[in-house]
Amino acid sequence: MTLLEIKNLSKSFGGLMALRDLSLGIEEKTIFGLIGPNGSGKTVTFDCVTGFHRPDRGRVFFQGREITGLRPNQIALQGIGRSFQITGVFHNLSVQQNVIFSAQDKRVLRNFQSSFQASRGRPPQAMEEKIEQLLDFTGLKELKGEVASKLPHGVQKILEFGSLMLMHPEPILYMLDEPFSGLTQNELVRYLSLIRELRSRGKTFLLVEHNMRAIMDVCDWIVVLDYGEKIAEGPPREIQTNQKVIEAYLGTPA
Amino acid sequence: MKIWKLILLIAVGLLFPLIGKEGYLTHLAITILIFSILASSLNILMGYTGLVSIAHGAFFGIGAYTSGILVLRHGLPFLAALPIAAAFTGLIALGIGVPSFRTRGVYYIIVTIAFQLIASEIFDSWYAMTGGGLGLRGIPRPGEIAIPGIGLLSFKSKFGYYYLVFTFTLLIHLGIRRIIHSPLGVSLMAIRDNETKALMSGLNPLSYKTFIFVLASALAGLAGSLYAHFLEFAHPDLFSFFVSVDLFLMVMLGGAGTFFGPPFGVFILEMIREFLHEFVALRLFLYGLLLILIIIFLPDGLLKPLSQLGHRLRSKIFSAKEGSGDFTGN
Amino acid sequence: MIQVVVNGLVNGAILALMAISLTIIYSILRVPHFGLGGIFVWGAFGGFFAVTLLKVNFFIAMLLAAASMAVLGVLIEKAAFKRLRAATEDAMFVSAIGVLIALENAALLLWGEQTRSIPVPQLDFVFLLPGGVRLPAMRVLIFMVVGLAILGLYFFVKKTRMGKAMRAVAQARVAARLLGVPIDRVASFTFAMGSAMAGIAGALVGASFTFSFEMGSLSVLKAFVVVVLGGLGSVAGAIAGGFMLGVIDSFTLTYVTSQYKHLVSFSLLILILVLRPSGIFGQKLGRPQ
Repeated sequence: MTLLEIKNLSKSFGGLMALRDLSLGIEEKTIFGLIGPNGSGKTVTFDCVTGFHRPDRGRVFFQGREITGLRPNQIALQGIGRSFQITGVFHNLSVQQNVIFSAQDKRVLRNFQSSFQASRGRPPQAMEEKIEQLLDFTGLKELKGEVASKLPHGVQKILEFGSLMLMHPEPILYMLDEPFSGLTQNELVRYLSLIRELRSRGKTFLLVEHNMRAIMDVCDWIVVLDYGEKIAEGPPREIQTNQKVIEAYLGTPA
Repeated sequence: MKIWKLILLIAVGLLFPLIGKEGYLTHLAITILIFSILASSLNILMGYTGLVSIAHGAFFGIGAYTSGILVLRHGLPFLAALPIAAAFTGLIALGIGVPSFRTRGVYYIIVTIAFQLIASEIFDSWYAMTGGGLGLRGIPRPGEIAIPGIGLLSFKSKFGYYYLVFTFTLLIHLGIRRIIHSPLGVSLMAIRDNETKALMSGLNPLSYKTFIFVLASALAGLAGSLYAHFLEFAHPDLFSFFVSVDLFLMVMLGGAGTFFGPPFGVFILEMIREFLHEFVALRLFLYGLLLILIIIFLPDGLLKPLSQLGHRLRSKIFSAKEGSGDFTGN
Repeated sequence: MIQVVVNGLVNGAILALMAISLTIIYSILRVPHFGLGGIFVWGAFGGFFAVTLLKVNFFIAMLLAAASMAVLGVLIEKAAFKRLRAATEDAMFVSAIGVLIALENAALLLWGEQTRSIPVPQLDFVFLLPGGVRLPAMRVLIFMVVGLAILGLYFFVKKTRMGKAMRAVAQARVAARLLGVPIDRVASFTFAMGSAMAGIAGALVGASFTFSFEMGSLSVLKAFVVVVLGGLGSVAGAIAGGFMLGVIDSFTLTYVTSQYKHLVSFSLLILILVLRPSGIFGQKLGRPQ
């Protein structure tokens, strides 16, 4: 089943055409890569799908339902989790608070009410267990009380990823924007194994990345953008040898 | 925080008027309590949600005038006027808040300043309602209530009024503390730290900002009512732009985003005000310098470094006791 | 009616000058320098003392005001803003408010609370224009000075090296620094220029009307309204907005109400910011990250 369907997406800023008539479809339970030179429109695509920009033309469907033009919080509630190029964590909160936030109910009146209940809004037993499991799974257990801004960059990225997992409802599609940038080799291996583990649990991934080795290693299918257009798509092996792709990155020989 | 500290604080608070009685000390204490409500409510807005507001003085004033007018001109009892004033202030906040959240950063602060100035001008010019530059005089104190076991407590005296204000201050701070340590508190801090990520996690920032802005402003209005009936007087200068800046300084000085910081800041600034009572210009000049110094050198406020210093001193004293030898070098 | 417009344009010129100072400091250094209100006050006092104590004529007094405020401005930059260069705009705003309050109250402490006026006997006459419009000579001077200041600014920014450096820092500070542009010097120059202009504005107001220690806050707030109307960072917007607001205010004062004079401009400010969060010409703030 096509989980995410992007049809004829176009977006321009001022006079600059960032996306031209982009169409692509992501099958469920795949790890999908979106690559291209800087400025080719990868993050813009993410922004249009997740509601940070309204596309000029085109439509986006998730699980068959149209999500074009919805706001980011509404899209999150559909089951899409998205990470950011600039690591999205809550800097002054601890690791545990970061994770609890993702997991808890997001409705303001509900939260206000629960402040004054006997439980003081502490997460129910089931959620506490899930949080512990997550901290184990991502290797963050020892760092529970650390303030996020004090964590090394790679750990922050893992924290960001981990909090996505606990979102409520749980994401079916993970859209990760340059998740591997700045990671050490060990951290990268860890992150990749987490992704593969989740895929085996039936999740779908859309990755934007510049780290070619990692992308070619983990993705099932890759789409290449250049100047806002799709110039190639296929399995990694084909993409690696595709002439148009090589030219887009390296330029045509003089 | 340890429970004994809380009990100690409450005990001190309850027993204080026995020392102060009808004197100036009690007057000062009441002022500090009321301003603590203002500072703490501004703190949940500024320190916890990240919404810097220089309009808090205006809401303080709206509550004060509303309550004063309701009792003075329409004969409502104080206990009815207070909640109505708070609710009305919250309503105005709703009206100004919702559109203002479309703006960001410096622009947002400017909108709050503009609102403060508009409110000040209305306080100053709407003679029929507010008495304009002459102020609203003769706002009556509430009467008395009967407390089982103790007898009649009259709010007409400073002694009695102190307990009224103390009760409100205590309850409000307990409530704020509850909120801070709850999912609501975490959500507000999430908005402060990374609104984009909060958005992408399924949260609607507008509903949270609106909620907290209305709540904080309503609390300011409540404080206004308490103040107006305490002074038996209301005047535009009491709720001006400079008062808003004062409150801002109190929160920053004590430490935005901490629980005890703002009341500490209130205490320090009120002490400075007392010390320099006659020298208004000098005091304000120092405030200006303080703002600059704090934001450059102590952006986390004064309380944290002071309490850390306290801890270090304490551990030095204790280790000296356990340490090797005595002072004579044996 | 023309009188109303003319009065409005005069006030607008002063507003425009203040607004330009605010906007260049903001666009180059990202500092919302409310402290300029204090400089405005000190400029008036500077002009006053130059005329009454040093016995110089007003033109020299203006230059002295500009020079002394430029120096003061640079000192303020070093003391209150230099260390905040990497901080958020909120932090710089706090410092700026601190500067405003400190300067105003320092003036109060030093020179008292009385309202004064700078005597300029040479310009003590009035032009009588057709239609019964009275135009005091002093106000003509205001137009001339503001016009000169704008021209001067234009040539400075477009033609000189420092001007280019300032524009570079405004557009891309990190790149400018990497390319060797001396940020410290650019900051000093920017503050010097902005403060000089604010100081001149103060002297002009002190001579055409009256002045006191407390006129700074309202002036700078009004100027901020202008800057926002025209867009933070846009000099053209500051000029246009300044004259516009001056005329609007004049009309409101004369025809609508003399009581709620600020209500209109501030309500307008809120309305504009809410409808177009970046002002009319302004730079858009990025997506909150």
